[in-house]
Amino acid sequence: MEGEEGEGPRGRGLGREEDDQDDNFEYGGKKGKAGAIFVLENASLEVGKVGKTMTLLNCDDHANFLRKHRKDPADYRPDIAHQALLAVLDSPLNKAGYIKAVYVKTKKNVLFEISPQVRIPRTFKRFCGLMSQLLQKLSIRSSSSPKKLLRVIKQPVTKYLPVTHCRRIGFSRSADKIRNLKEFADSVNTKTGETCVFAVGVMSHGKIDTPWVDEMISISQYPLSAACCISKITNALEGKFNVV
Amino acid sequence: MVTKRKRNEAKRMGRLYSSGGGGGGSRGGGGGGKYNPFEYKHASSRFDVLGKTKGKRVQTKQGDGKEFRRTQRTNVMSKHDEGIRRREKSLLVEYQQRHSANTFMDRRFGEKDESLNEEDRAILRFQRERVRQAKRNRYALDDGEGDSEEDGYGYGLGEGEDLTHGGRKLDDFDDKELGGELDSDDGGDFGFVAKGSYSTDKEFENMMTEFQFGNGGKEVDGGEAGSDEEGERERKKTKKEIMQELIAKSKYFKGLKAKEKDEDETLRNKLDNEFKEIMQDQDTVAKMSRLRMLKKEQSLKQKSERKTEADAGYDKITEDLIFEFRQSGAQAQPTREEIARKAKQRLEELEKERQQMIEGKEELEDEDPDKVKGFRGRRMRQKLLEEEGGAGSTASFNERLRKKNSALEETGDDLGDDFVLSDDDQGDYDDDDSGDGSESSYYSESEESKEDEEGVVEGIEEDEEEPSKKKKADKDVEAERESLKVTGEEAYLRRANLGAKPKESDQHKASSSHRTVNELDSSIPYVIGIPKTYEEFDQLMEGRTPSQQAEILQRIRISNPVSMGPDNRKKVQAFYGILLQFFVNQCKACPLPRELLNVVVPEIHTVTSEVPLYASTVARARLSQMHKRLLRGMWPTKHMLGTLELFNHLFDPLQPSHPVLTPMLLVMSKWLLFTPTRSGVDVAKGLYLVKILKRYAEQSTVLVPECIKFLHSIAKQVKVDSTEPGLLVFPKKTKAIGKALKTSKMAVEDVLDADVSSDDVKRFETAPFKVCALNFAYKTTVDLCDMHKKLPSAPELFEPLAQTLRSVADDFGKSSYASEAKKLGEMATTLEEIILECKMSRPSLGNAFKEDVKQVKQFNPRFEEDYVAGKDYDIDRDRSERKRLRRELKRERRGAMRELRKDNKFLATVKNKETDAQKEELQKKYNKQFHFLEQQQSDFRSGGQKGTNFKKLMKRN
Repeated sequence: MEGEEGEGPRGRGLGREEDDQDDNFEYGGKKGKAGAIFVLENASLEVGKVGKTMTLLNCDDHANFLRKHRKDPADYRPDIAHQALLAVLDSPLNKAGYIKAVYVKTKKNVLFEISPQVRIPRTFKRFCGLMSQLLQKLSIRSSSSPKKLLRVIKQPVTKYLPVTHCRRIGFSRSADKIRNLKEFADSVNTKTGETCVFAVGVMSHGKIDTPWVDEMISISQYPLSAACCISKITNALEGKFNVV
Repeated sequence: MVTKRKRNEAKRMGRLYSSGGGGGGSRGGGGGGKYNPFEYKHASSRFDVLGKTKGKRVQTKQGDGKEFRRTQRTNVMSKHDEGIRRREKSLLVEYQQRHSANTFMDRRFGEKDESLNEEDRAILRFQRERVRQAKRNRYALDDGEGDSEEDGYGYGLGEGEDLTHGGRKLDDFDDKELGGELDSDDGGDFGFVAKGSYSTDKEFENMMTEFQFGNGGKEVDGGEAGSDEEGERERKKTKKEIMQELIAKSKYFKGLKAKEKDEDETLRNKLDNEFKEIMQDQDTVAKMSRLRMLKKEQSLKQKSERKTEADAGYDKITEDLIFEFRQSGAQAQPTREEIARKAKQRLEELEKERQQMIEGKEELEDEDPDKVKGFRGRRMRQKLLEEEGGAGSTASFNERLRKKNSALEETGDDLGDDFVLSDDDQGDYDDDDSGDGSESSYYSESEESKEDEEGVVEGIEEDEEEPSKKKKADKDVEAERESLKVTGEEAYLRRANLGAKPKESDQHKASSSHRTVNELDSSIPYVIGIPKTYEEFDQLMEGRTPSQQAEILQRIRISNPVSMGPDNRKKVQAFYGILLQFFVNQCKACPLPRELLNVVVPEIHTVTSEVPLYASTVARARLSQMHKRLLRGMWPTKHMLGTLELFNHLFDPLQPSHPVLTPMLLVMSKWLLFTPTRSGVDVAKGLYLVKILKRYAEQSTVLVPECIKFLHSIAKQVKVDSTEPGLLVFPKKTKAIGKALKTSKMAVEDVLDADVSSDDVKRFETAPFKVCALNFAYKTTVDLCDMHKKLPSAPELFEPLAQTLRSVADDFGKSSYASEAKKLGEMATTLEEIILECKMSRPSLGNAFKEDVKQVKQFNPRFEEDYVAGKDYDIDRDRSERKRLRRELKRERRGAMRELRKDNKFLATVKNKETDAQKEELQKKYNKQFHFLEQQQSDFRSGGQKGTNFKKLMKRN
């Protein structure tokens, strides 16, 4: 596995096949170009067997079920992951093709990759259906082509991240330095095609455990929601890449 | 890392494969104490799922309902052991017996079961045997001991069998009876008796009967044989017998049925009689009726309570449906041809009568009506009667007439009321009238004339010719307008029906039209053949009033219907040409004979719908003539204008490419575009063409840009307060001009009345005409703009013209023609408003010119709302079924392969064990021999001391 690293980032993965021309569209996320990778940590996406069906557990609908199994309903918040994913994938940054990949790691230690080309269901119910199917089937294809849009992959996430020209940043409120994202974005080296990896926690409370990041930063004095944090990041990068 | 558990399992595995075998081991099983990790390793579920119970849900059948229980997670080791045990029982046995050619199988019951002792085994066997016997005897007849003997289980009788004697059960006999017989026969053998031992014959007979029923042991065989034969005879029935039986049966059932019927009849009669008796009793009847009423009321009450409004509506419809009479087939709507034929017949009849009247009225009168027989005689008698009644009985006659007409009207609408009509017929006067009555309402034209005829007979005189004429003309005009809208059949029917709607009372009509028609009658024949030449037709039409001409045209058409034969079609075609020529000639006259044209145009319209192909041919010929004139650079003559107008009315403008209208449009546009306007008449003609085009465009919504071009060119020529020469130059307003403007009003249509040869043309050079032309141009422009405002290019199309018109209007406002300018200004404003509105209503160009930014293509994920793992979500059922079967097959095959492999492994283990055992034995023997030899050697060496080992020696001792 280590030997393959020479070929370049393995995170190209979904929707980034070599022969994928896609109307001659130049992805911002192509090899050698600057872009961003999002790693959503600690997502509370867990399926449970409620009654006869397997569903994605959430605190609203399955509070009693969770209590029966001695779990804290407050921990089951798939809506945060939903919002965060919408924020990432609906951003102009993604529309312009600057997002190379999105990885989600759940509390249950399942890692899956999401193609930047996927259109995440807008309604929460449908999102739950999608996630529950993903966690059971381990991959989801496109409705119009045999392309895999989501798939469960092996740990750890680091083996999918580029090795060279890559900055890995984790976000935490408890980080000691508060940095202005604008300055950070300006420091991204587009000439060398620097890829930024952002590890954002999508849980209700807690701290992400990402020892692989280069630095942990805080971008606000206030605790931010995942979606807000992500939109701040994408905004800053849009400014950098002149995406309007 | 091998965990402790795994190590334990490994130990077990080792034990299993090496037990008794001495560590042989197979390849698959991992020889000698080694374990195969694949044998017991099992896949755990990928994720720990909350709420998921361990183990599978398994359906168990208990009683009727389905119940589920959860299996424990399969213990792989126990399964493995079980497999081995199973093979030991089956495969191993087979393996061990592989060399034996035959085998002894002990299949006695319970022999293998060690839990049973000897006695139990015997009981069990006995039970089994009995069951077997019972099974075998299930279908056997109870006829003697033969069977039981065969069965070989004792000579006793079966439980169900009874011994009989003389038809009586043996048990029923007294001891005495039995004893006597027994005594005589020396114990039991009572069957065979010699004849001589009985004293009387009777006794012998008794004996014989006894013998027949006897079951003596010695005679068993013979008796049995006899009974068997009898049985066989009974079994084998011939066909004849079967048939006879069948017949007998059917007869029997028939008899039964007849009997039942008889009984029913008698019962019914009885009931009837009883009922009659009851009904004779008045009290009971009254009571019953009261009861019924009460019940009815109750039910009604309930119904009304229950009924909602909707229900009521439904009920009403149901009632209506019940009471609605079915239409009788005899009075179906007549076809076009039928109408035409009937109308023609009618006219012919009328003509005949007219001829009679003209030629010999006296003759008729001389005839003695009493001597004439048949319908005619009856009619004459009727007439005589009426005449005797005189004018005084007019009222009663009119009443009857009205009555009759009302009946006729009814037949037109209400076909269900033919009863009433026939009643009327009985009491009515005219035989053939009543015969035709039902049809005549369809063509009231003939009806009218019939009434008129009757009026003649009665001799009533009233002077209301003028209003009737006027009315007729009005009607014609109205009909023309209507017929312009409709085409084909509808128009035809309408023409035939001209007076079908009785607008005023028939009495009034009869009296008012009396003189007109009287006049018509005298000169116009009812049946008119189609004129062969134009002159003939012209003669026919000349000197007649328009109403008479209309009558003539109509009669020509009705007496020569196209549908009555191919000859007629040709004639009508010729007539069409004549008619069109007539129209053109009338157009040439000045002033235009509008009243006459109003009569002719509807007729042309009707005939066009009858011979459409020919009509279009004629029209095209006319158009080609016009085109020739156009090529000479001349404006159309006034009859051409009239013809164009006519064509515009005749043909359907909605058709996109029309054989007549399309070339017509071309000719007219060319005129407007290429022909120079040299005089006021030219201007008027051009404007008239614009008018026709506008009408055409209105109906077909086709844009004719030539109109706009022409109007623009006209507008450009206008000059106010100027002395320059020009067509539309208005000199400074003098008093004379002002007066002329006030007194004479002109219209563009006047061009049709203008005589080109005379000085009349000068009118078109005067100021009143110029003003009128300007007004017309303005008005038409506004109309056109309004018509085409939905076109995307409308503002651009009309804007230049609008600007010109505005400037002209402004010029007028500044000039001495201020009074005329006001109207023009208003119209110019309207035009500008429309154009502005068009512009405003245009959708803004918006994002049309924005650069299209390319976006990453997005894909929708394919997932199900309620996903259940393992369920096939393929829409194609067949495919999913096939997939399932294929998967099953694969699984089966894999299972089979696995079984075979395991069998192989098992056998290999067994073989290994065997060879090991053999080897061991051999080794043992060898060792033994070697030991013996060694012993001997040592014995020998030691000189018979059995070895030199002191210790061993000591031990041995």
